[in-house]
Amino acid sequence: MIRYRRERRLPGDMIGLTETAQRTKAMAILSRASVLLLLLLASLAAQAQQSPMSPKDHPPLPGKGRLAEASRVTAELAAKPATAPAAKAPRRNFIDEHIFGKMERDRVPHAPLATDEEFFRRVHIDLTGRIPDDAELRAFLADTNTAKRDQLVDKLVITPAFKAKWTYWFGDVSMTCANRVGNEGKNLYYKYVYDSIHFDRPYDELVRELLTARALTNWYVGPASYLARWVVIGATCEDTVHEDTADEVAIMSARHFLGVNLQCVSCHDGKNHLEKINLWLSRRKRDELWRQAAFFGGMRILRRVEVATTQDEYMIDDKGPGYDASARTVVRIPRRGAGPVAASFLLTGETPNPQKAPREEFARMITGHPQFARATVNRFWAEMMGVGIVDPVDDFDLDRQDPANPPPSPWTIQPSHPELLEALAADFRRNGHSIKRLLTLIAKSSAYQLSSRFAGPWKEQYAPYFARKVVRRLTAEEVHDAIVKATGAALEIPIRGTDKRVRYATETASPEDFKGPLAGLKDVNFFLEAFGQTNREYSERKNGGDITQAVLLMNSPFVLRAVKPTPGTYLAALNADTALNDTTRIERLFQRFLGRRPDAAELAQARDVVSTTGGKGFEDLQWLLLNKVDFIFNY
Amino acid sequence: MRNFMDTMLTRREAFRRGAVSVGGYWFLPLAGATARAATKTQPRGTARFCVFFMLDGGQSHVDAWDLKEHAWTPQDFAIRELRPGVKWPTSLYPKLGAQLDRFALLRSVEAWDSVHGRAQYYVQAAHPFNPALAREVPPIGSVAALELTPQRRETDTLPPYVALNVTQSQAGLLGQGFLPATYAPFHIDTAASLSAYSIREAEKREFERRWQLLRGFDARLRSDPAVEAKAYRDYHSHYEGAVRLMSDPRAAKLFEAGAEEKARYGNTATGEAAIIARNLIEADAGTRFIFLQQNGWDHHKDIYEPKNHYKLSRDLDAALGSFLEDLATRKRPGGGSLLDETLVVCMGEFGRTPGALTQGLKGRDHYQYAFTVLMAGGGVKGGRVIGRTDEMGAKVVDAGWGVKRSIYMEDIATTVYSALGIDWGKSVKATPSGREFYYVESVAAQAIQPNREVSVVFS
Repeated sequence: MIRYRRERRLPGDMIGLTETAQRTKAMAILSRASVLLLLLLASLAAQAQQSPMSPKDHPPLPGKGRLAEASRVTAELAAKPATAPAAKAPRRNFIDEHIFGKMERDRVPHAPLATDEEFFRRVHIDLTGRIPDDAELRAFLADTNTAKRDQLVDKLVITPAFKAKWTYWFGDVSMTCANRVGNEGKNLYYKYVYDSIHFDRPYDELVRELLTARALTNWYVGPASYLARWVVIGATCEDTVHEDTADEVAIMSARHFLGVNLQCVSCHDGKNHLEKINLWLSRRKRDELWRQAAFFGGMRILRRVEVATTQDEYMIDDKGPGYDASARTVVRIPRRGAGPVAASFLLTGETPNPQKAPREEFARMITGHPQFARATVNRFWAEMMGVGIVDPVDDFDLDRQDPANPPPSPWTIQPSHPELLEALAADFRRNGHSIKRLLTLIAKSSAYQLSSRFAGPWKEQYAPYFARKVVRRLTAEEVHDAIVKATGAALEIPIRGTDKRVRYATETASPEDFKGPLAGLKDVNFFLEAFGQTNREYSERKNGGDITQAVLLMNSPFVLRAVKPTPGTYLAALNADTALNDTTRIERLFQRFLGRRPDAAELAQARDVVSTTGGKGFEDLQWLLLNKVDFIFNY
Repeated sequence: MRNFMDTMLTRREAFRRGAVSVGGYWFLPLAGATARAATKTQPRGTARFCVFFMLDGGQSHVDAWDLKEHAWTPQDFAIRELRPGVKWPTSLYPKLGAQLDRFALLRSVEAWDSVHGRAQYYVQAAHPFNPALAREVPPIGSVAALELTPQRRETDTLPPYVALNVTQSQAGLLGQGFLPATYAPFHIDTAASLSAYSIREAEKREFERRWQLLRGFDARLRSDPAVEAKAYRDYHSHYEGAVRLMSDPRAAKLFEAGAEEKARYGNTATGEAAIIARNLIEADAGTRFIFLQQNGWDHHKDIYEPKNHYKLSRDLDAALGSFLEDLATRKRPGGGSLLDETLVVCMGEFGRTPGALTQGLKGRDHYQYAFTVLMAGGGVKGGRVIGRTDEMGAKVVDAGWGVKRSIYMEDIATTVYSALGIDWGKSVKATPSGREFYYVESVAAQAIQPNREVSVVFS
């Protein structure tokens, strides 16, 4: 189905604020003025602004995106005293050759490498979706082994938390939810994806299996839920609209696996619509989309409604009638074609071998095309680095990729580092399409490990170079999990359709697991929605902050419960440990919540907090740390 | 079969606009954009507030307010013809049945869509769901919030647009689109974190202490000349705003409901939301548009089981019925009642299949070709039925509003804007996509009949 993106912002009028207020949760990290910059960068990286596009008067806006805009505002605050430029960062792999090579050629300064503290927290969040344990942090800081960062990466990519995070992430990408595929389908799909990641299965194999899945019911064939999710239902529950479903699969598979957005051309030709948006798409015709969808013309997805429930259970086989260009639609502009459509692959025009199954041919073509690897590595890059080499990751313009064949002025090449994108894609293909390898390469590079602190004036034009870490807000799930992990507050989230309970949001099989009838869950569910969790239906992830989030972080039952030193929590154990003094306790709490020690001023203030408020002092301190801006940012 | 997409076809042919944005994250501050009136409109301005009761999932109209009695209709609906042409299931909607004079029923409404997500989107936005533009289109509530901003007073501290319990819909709660953040809906889930929105007397000291401590953590930042003051202000704005809301002495009463009141309103989340809506209207502290939702109407299966249509109906009756009662009996200093200045709209996203129940599942499926909308207050003249469907409730046979077509969401939006005194003919050119945003699009499938106000409800 169609994704609808929703962004919420501060209702600034309530408190007399300017409309352009970006939630820069500036810093409470006092003397680190540069962190101010990074946090500004963060909040703006989380939300982009572009100048208005008037189709008649303005040329297309190449190069503008989240990163550029974030950097623009940062530049406003760049009047900081220049300090020594960062030392050269060691080039760890080919990623660094490209990133630093380009910066050197263009004389762009870069941030220093992140400190151990910064790196430790960041890599945990990016690879596992969870903030690190403070004892592990201390051990890491004390470790003098020069290879410790690499070893940490190697360790993290085999943890259950890693697998859970990327399984959840993939579920978000494929938007698979119980509302569409049933609890059984959702849970089985989760296991299937989790296992694929566990075995570091070649990604192209996984994708081919998703696209060619056949099932008597998706409730016992894991990969089938990927396709079943996109069924378009018509007037009654059993009415699966054949061509509309094929269209959705064509659109979504192109989006997920080629990074190309075919949504617009599913209703009309690109001509006279997309000239300012996407050159390649502006040349596409609606029938080309139909020809792509025709690969799924033989695919039949039938809904099972004969038992007592209208269940979201589907059968998938290949006994479909083909794709008819005059078929009805319930979700689009009427098709004005006539008769059966022959399949042909949109990117190449290749037609399927008639001796082979069309879906298998499609799977072969899509995973064999260079754009598959490029779009995939770009997607993972964006997830780790904050911004894609091509951004947004679902909006490749295929006419603007090749530096040897540049688009007509004023269009520019779309990827910020076209050669790097090619190199990453080639490496991915050569090494069994291994996700683990890709993520490891990125995490071990100096490019990934740059700090968000930047010495000297920051210029907007530095932004596309990845000259510093792009700061981002934690996702809703990451905020929730950070609170749960930091406080140790016991929380049990039932996996609906099973007896299983989990602790962390990224361990759930879909956002619907938060919507069960269990007491205490409603509060948490609303918390997650307020922080932007998508429902994998029409709502999309929200990236910004607003007043509701502030209300909930300060005063929601979930948070107020979590900060209490109830038995079993971290604070209870900390309080009970008589070997520690208050200073150590404070330091540990800072490390646990924020991944760093307090500076002198913070320590003094924290001591005031715990000494003057009696027994509740540490509970207050936990509350303060949760509400401190650095808690919900990944820097 | 008419398709909402016909509207887009006509527009495409007529306007040939270029900019349909494929992607990108864009959002514009509204500064500098001016809405311009394209057609002459005469908003009547009879309401200060608007409340939408959204029946998420789609209420079965033939079993409710356009009742069609047939062999399959349960006897215990206790149907009585309360007025000529008004057969009423009195066991389902007793409170509303006793207040017929307070509302009008529009029985000639049609939906453009029969898919939940798209149809729900339509109710909030009054625009068709277009993936290229969905990100930038503001819902009715946000447009209303924008338009009513000039009337905001010093004492208005609450958000102009409040949403309650919009938690289970497929469409989700629409954000403010390209409008500034001020006009985003402020979302409250009554079953979840209601206690979070206000600080009770007993907790005040503790909260105040914590709040001061939090500010203390940042104090150095505020006085550091090297730090950009604006950036700091921006950062803390959410928290300042949140604290202002929570500490407002009115907040505690606004967001709380006593036990007997809750009981009167049905002891449900919807009832609680209705109480809060009433409180917000009574307080008149800045909130002007409220969108509250009752979930669970999607009765594809076993519609006549007690937990389905019966329960939802009775819950709605208790909530909406009490809401109308309270609004009608509470007066402003000037003499008028709260209901006089509040336009209430109660509707689902579509109706449900008329006729016999579905085989096996014993339910009703989605049905867009006829359903009923309830309107009350804000100038609406109650005690009337507008439009008529055939004996099955399958087809609109008399549109009933002087226009030769059914009523659509565009017309309802027009009516809402008119009641609020908003010029619905306005449009905004400076949108991120460059595509002109019309407050209400013409119902272009009937290009010769532009959307219009359902003025008959007012006269």
